[in-house]
Amino acid sequence: MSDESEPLTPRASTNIDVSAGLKSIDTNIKKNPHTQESMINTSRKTETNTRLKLVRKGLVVLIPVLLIISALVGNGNYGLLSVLLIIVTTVPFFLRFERRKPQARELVIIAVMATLAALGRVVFAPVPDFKPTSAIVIIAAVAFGPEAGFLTGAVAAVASNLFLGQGPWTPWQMFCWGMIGFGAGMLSKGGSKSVLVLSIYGFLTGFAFGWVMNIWFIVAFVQPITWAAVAAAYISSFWLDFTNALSTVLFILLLAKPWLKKLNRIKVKYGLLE
Amino acid sequence: MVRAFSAIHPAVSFTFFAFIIIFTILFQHPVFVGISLSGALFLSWLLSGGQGVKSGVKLYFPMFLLIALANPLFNHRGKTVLFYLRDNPVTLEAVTYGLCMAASLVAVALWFSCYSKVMTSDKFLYLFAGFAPTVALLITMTLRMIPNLKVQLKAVASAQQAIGLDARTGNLVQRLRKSMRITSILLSWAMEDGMETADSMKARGYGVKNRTTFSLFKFDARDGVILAVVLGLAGICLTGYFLGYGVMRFYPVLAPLKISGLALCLYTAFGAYAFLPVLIEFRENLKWHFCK
Amino acid sequence: MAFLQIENLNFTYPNASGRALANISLVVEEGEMVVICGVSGCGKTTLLRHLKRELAPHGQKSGAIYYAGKLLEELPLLTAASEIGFVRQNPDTQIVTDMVWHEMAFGLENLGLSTPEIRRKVAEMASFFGIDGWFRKPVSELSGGQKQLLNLAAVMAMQPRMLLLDEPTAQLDPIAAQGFLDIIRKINRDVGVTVLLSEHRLEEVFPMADQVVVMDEGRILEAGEPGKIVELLESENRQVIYIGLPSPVRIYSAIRKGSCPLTVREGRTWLNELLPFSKRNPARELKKGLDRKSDFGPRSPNFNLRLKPAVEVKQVWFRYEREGGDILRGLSLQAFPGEVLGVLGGNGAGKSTLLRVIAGLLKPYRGQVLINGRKIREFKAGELYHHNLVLLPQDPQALFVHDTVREELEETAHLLNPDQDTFRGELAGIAVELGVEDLLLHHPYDLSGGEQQKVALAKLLLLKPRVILLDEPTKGLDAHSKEILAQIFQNLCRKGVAVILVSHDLEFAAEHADTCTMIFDGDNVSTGPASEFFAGNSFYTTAANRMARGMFPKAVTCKDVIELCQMNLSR
Repeated sequence: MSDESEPLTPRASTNIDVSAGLKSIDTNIKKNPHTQESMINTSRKTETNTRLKLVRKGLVVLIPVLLIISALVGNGNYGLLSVLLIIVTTVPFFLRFERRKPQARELVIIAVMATLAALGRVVFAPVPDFKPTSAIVIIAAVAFGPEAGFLTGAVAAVASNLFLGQGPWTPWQMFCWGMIGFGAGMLSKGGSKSVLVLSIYGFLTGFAFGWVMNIWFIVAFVQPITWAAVAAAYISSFWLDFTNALSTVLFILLLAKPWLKKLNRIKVKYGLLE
Repeated sequence: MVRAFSAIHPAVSFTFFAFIIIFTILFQHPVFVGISLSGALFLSWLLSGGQGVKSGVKLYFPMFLLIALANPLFNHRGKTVLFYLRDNPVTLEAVTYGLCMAASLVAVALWFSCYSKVMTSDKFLYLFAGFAPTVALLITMTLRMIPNLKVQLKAVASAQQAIGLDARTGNLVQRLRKSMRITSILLSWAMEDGMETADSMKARGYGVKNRTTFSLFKFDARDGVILAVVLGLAGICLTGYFLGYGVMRFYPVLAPLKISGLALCLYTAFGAYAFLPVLIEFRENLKWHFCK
Repeated sequence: MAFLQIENLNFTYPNASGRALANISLVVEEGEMVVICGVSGCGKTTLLRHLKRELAPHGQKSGAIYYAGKLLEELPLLTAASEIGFVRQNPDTQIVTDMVWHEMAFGLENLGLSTPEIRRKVAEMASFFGIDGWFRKPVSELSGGQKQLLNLAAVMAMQPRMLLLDEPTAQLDPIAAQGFLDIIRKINRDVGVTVLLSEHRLEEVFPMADQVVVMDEGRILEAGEPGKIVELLESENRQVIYIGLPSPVRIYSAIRKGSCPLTVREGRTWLNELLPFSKRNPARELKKGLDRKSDFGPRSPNFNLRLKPAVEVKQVWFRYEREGGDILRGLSLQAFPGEVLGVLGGNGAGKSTLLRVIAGLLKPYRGQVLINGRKIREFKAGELYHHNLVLLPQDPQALFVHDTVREELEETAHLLNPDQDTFRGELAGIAVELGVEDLLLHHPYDLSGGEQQKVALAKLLLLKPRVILLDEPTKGLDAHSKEILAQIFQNLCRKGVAVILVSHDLEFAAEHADTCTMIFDGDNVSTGPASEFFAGNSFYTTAANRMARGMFPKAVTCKDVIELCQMNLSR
């Protein structure tokens, strides 16, 4: 996605249909069912004051969001709707982290990894879609777990956008990189940590990243939405997505081994566990 | 240079931007879109001056043209046919809709660029901290580390260059290998330094108690007044929207422009909203002018 | 019970053979200023960390620490965090947030204070420290000295009763260090905060102290008033400890007559009393100035004036950006083989820039740099840095990429000769020469600052340089490590290597450089043999020289003054 260049630059010009847009949003909701669930779980486990406060905060966000969503669906404003949905999806991750009261060292480690990821993005900004960010997020997730992976990705997105320009794409990128990290963390928790697996994962997420960002692009720029338009958007983004996937694989191949070794040493030396 | 509008409380300016962007997307209506676009243009001129507007035009005009032209070329709905292009009808409705859409998108883009200029990182973090203080702290720490690591990156690169491992020389593989060396060194260095940062946090009581969040922003009476105005006008506009005034029918034939009293009220309210930052700015300029 | 009382504290790090702290007992009254000194690895940092509960290292511990009448471990979390402040060496790593105001508020946020309370305390501290001018600046725009002041202010905002400072000025230039110590003195005297300070650079802190604690190998050798410490140490006559003491104390410790002077002013009075006019012999003093240096310096008889300079800088002009101001303004300089050239000067004078221009990392827009008579532009990329010229960066971390020192060295050795056997031999040779052979299996990051410096130097020496450029090589090092470093330089000079070192450390330059040059405003304003250079300056010179000024004008180092005193006294 053309997320690097700050202003909204359309990557394809296209037209009509409603059902496709709806579908993409549906799948989006299905993909992240834990959104609402974890919100409910949270309210069930209200043991301490802080938890209550957080849930209240969450609800304060959630209720108006749902109201607005219903209004938006009625009028076919998928651009706004999708941004809201994305925000709602990322919220539970943040709330969980808040509730857990992370240690100083955890914060520092995530901040260092996010800084490196953001810095990589800023350094490679002139080359569209060629960036080490996803690779660094994946490495962070493998070394420090799914939650750290999610936060590294999300924080890297916000922080780099504070340099490159904020916009409606910020929540999308937070979501995408966050999820890439979360997924990588789950993957390595499941025991697959080999560079090969990570490379394949990196390659797939390179495309997934582009595809999710395409949804944003389509709902924001393509109106009315047609199958043809959606197809055109996905086809036209192929090479950019491919670059992204390839750069991610390249950086994983180059960085994963030495970086994981170094991170492991840090983990051992400072007694850090996942 | 915008002083007055940038100085208002972040919560107020955020509310303002959130509503104006939502309205610009919601109101598919030439009058509203026109007002929003001119408000955005005016504010970006105030924010970045003539040079900024020039580069903005360079950036957004092609986008405007692209969308405005694409719609009538690919979309043949509408009854009023203007002419035929290779046997395809180009309709007045499609042209109007295309222009409206394009203007709306450019307006959103402009509002966002104004948002980026006004909502600096400390304002953003202040608002974010209200919702997720630890994540906000995490972002703050990241913002602190970025310039720091940039300096270290340079130090590593030149230290490596001075032992003959310049990452800018050699063939592609050598360059990649040397670049990765540099990042590896940087990673270790940053992590070890980070552990000292963590100590410094612990030494200052991090994790002892629930943190509060301090900021330099003060919500004063003026912010209250502006917020009330923002919410009041936004309320009027939303009511108008739900009464059906915000959207114009384009197909199959353009609906006539509503110019009832209520509609005019609504246009005025929205105009006042979109030009609120500009008004605030001019008011302060006048004050300074007369104070001198 | 005293404010702080340490009773028989013992501590052993996990997997370590010896004790890091052994039978430490210390009493500190409220409002006291305590200076802890000793060579690196003597246990200063470990001791200070034990006093800050949150940072206490893991390991085997016995003994008790009482703070304000209570066991330190039993202190409530909140009290422990706010009443005991800790500032350490590196100004950069201690800063957590991106803005000055936020950093000052960070600790108070952690204590859960409300916004108005934080606002008041922060305002108070910003005014006290005089940082209201840069209160709203991002941290990244501050100088090192400002950053360290910010760290102190951020700790002071929590209103501690006890401040623990672990070599707080080690990374600062002398002027910033002086500013920092002035504030510490103010905090101690005017606010009554108890201060425990560990330092290598003792010239300024010694006179401020109420109690000096000398540590060695995890034990407290002696503790007492600064004026008495020399007498107390008498039984433990160790060179290692004396060389770390301030110049007046060092000179006194060799003479031991009268009462111990702590400052230059006291030192002058003391010298005048020691050697009244009638007793001085200027002839001996003059002769002394001539035969001080090694056999290889430019002033030695066998120094060949026709020798070609190893580095020649000719009328170099440099600026970073076309529109920017000039950093170097037509600077010329020569460095000869077998000579240590000290480049001195204040902050922002262009010293580091000059070094980077000589190293070929920056290109001057006018003028020439010749390395061994060849224009620097004519060297091919790698060629310049192999068998030729190396630059030791300020932070040796910028060189470390491997897991052990051995791999680190092997990699560099490999750069020059792929042949296994040759480089093994060379590596072993250099390791012995620099005294890092015991560190070969360690991780570079597990070493102390001085050890890291040596490893970095070893790495560079494997490139067989004929010119060595060093950027602040003595930064953060204790006197003992400096001596070792100086030894290494002497050995290199004997092999005909040219050493150029950029430094703020006048004492080191005076003692170990052959030639000194002072850079000001992008040009060198005076150059000369070290002793003449310093003897010619009246402010920008060593403490020993300032002390003996008017009596032995050519005496620059403590050794000079001591020798001259002894000669004159023995008459």
